[in-house]
Amino acid sequence: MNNLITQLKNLRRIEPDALFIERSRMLIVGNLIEARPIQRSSFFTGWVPAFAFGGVFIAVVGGIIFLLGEPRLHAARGLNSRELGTELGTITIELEAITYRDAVGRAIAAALSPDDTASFLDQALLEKGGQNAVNKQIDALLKAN
Amino acid sequence: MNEEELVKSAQAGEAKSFGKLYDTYIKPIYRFIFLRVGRKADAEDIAHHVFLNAWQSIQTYQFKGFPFSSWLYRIAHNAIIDFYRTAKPEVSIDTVAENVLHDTGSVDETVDRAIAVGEVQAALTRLGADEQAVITMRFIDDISNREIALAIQKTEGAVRVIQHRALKKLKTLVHEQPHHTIKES
Repeated sequence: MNNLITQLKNLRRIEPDALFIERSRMLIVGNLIEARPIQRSSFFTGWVPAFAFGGVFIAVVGGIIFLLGEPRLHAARGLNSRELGTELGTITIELEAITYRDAVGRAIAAALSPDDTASFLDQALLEKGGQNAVNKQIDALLKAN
Repeated sequence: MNEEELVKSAQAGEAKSFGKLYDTYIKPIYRFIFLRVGRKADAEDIAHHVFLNAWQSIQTYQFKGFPFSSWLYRIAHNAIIDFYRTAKPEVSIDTVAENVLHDTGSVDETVDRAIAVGEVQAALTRLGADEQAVITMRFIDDISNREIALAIQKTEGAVRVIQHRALKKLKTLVHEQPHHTIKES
């Protein structure tokens, strides 16, 4: 009886071929998703998740375009000739205003000055004043006295 | 990860976990089948379907403190019964010899062993389905009577009775063979 059991133990050496194991394992494990009725989550199927994913995708792509595209829009706006002309007109007006204020400022300063240097500034007035400086009637009266 | 965790992981759909269970049990399950159907091609086909069925119905498996192999043996046992219903099994001593010729030793010893193993296997196939299952599981794979009972869906007492009867029958069958080499001890 012991010899029989020993022979039975010898049968333990029986093993499947490595090639069979590899092939069988690949067929079972490799096709698990198709072969097995797994309790899959329904989250990834159906219309609602599809729309949700679509919305998220559009938001992300739109955000990227907005962020990357904004500086270029500003630059393009800066190259518009009509806007450039308007901006140039504004600058010219501001320069004229500055010039005017400067002239007014100098004139006021001259008028307030204690010495009468301002009269010498106007050549036409000096000439006119020079002509009026000798009044013939006054001269005659002075001579009569 | 222990076996219970592997099974739970496989039940949750983790393919790698089932792959580990496959690696652990393919050899004993294949051997269990081969010794009962006798042909390598049939054994491979049945073993493959046992694991495929196990994966497809793993959700129904409930861990009750027994090794996962008990469940696999039960699937294999039922698959073999189905096989016997539809096909007439044949035993090829050449196939047995191929599997046991790996050991070193003299040619005479190896041939004697191959013949002896072939005789045992041939005798095994002449036992009833439950007897084959009990002898194979108990004396080749050292599985407890409790697990065997679970696998073949009998009581432990019934398994002991089957075991005792099957061993006596096997001994008789081996001695009935024309050139039996197994000596009495």
